[in-house]
Amino acid sequence: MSASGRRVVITGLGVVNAAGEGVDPFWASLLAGGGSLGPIGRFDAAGFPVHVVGEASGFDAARVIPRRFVAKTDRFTHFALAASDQALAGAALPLDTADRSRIGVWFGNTTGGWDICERGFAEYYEQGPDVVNPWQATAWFLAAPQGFVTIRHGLRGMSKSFSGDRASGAVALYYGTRAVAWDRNDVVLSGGCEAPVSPLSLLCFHSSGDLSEAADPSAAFLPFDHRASGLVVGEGGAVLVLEDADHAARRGAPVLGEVLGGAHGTSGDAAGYAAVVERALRSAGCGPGDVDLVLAEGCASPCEDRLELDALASAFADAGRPVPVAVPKAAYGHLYGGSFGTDVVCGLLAARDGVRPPTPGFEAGPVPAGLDVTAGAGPLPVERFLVASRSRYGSCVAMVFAGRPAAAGDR
Amino acid sequence: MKGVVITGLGVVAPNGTSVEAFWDSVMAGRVVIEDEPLMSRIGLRCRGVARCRDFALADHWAPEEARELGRLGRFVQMGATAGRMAVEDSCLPSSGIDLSPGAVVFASAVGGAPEMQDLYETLTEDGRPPILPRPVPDTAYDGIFLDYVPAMLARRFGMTGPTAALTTGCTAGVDAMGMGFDLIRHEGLPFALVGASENPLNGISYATLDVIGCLSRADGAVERSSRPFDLGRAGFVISEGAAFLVVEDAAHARARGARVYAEVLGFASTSNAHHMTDLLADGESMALTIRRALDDAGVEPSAIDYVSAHGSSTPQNDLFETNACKTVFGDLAPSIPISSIKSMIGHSLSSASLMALIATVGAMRRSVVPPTANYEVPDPECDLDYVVTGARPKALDTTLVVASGFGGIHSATVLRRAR
Repeated sequence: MSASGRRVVITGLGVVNAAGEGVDPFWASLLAGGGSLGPIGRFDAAGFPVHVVGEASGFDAARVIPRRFVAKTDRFTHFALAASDQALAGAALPLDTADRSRIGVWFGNTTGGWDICERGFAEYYEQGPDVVNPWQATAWFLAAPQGFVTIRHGLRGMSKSFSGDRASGAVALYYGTRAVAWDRNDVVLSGGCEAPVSPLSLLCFHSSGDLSEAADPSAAFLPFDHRASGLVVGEGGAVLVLEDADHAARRGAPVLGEVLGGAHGTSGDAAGYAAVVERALRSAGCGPGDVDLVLAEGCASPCEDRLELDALASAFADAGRPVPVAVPKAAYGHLYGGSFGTDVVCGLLAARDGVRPPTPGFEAGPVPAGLDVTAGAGPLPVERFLVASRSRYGSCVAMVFAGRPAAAGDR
Repeated sequence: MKGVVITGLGVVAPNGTSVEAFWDSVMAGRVVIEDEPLMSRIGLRCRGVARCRDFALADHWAPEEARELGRLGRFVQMGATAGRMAVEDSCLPSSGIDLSPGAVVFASAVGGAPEMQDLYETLTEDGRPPILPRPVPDTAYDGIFLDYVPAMLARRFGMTGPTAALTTGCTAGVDAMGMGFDLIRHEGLPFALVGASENPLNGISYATLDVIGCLSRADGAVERSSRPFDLGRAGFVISEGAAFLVVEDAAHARARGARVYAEVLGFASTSNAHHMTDLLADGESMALTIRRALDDAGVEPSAIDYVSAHGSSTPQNDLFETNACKTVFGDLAPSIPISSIKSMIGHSLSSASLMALIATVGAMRRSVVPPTANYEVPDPECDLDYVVTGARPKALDTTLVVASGFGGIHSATVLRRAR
């Protein structure tokens, strides 16, 4: 990052969610349109106040994870293990010779593993508290994905996990980047995961008031639209390999993008959110006109959407052209811990292919003149993009990325 | 590199709900571990807990705020209270300084686990599946997950810097301190409010930890069920509580004439990448962590005057730490006092490391080494100086606080007496 510390590049990507498993299948599915949200299939949801979710129904943990791990871990960890495997394979990181005491894992996750937890409760009350399964303590807790990924790959560097509501993954990715910039690590696997589709978890999410109660999958999650009625939660995860630029150059790593800058702050209003976006731009050495695409939080609450649109319009007021804003998560659901990493993947692929990611279902909303939200995918040259996230508690993260190795003039 | 100092402390602990009371209790070696009837009632073999019996919202909050907090999880209540104590103790709000750039870094391992179990009971018939779509209180999300406390503290004191919640289990408290330390050193923040809160005192938490043999099954009086480094140690005693610090840019603190409790010299954290709960007896992964913390601090091993151990009272941890100290300190290891306050107040998961850190700050200020209580039978393999006969007068200049936790995480920080 140009603001302070060492330069950080991205050398590997991994995703799992309702739209697909693996970067290219996910991207193809997203661009094909149609959306991947649907009725709850993981349990009988009759009478539940939430009807539509983004289930990673094609994901078979046993295909990518050793069986002994599958039994000992929760679904949210499975997503993290699968996405980490993909990201490490793409980065071609030679773990056998790398200094693994300088490789860390920085993940976001909001709730922990409620699938195994609910089974544990059932064991507790049906069979007795003295016979609960011995894996629950380590499978449920929120840093389980971090722990299992460090063990699977022998990663001994500084690793941390964060909860942060919708911004869980954003906070993890921001500080994962800083951990490289601060010279705490040379490489960080960063992103996060979420498995919110279990009965108790879903009811708890619903109590936040942030979830859509709509029954029609094509109209349940409509960020920035006049018909917005709340968000739809999705299952999945995303992991990026973040690497010190010199470290990556020395080993001839495939560089997929660069972190140009970022900022994190907390505010209850649009001005505070805009200030975080502006700080992120400044730290990246960018003006508002230098960003070709914004991937926004887009949580589809009329009030929060308005706040976010106002913040973005203010931060990009001097862009000199309408700034494209996209919320691809409308296709596969809000992944909370996995959300921000997935948005970064969308931005990198948008830059690679010159394509604007879709905001499925968008028709018309309170979008200010300086911003441009469009439902479908379409051609768009993208060199630099900004990803923003904001929690229900006002924690705001914005990061600026270059979709390809930044040339000297970018810095 | 910027200096970082501690300028505010707040604690809600089983042995005190003010910092002075906490220090008095720690130095007196007072054990506050008690029987937990629920454990035997549900057929578990573990025994002993430590509770914050003196904690009441009404003692700390005006009625309206107490009412708001009272609707949320107990870990939220204790965390908000300890956080507020630390901020007020730092005198930042009354200093007239702009608090807006400040950060809040919070931590918890299990969040609202008891409230989650209550919710499960509410949504089932006698605890049996299926989970029924009954109404859920609108406070469930805020009261179970971790992000209400940092947001609430930031809002109350007008901070608009980063707010975050770490989830790294039993190292999370000192990890929050480490993050605040890095935010000040590397990002130029003037100060950060960092802390942790935990309330794991419920049936499912006991059951899931007992089934893997983590919780103490030690024989004898329940007060002696946490006995770090003793041959008869047989697991940790679970407890609750919250602890917060204000860490501040040393120049910022000096400019406003703040009271400085101690200096933070360095921090490090690593993973053993070996096992979620098992530790290798050689202590190598903790030795690496301590060495990195010393490097970060720019301090030689010989400078360390006291080690505040994780000392959880599990057979494996206490040997693991002992061997880590032998590796790092070599011939000096037997002459460095080491102690574990978990012998007195049990293990409150995320907040335990910050309680140990606050005890260590008290030790430096009072020139007294906190004791390890309940030690009777020496373990031939754990043969260092565990300060087992009561608090010991000793001038302490440079100290080390270490923590380990589920997920194979180890963290360590180096502190120095305020000058």
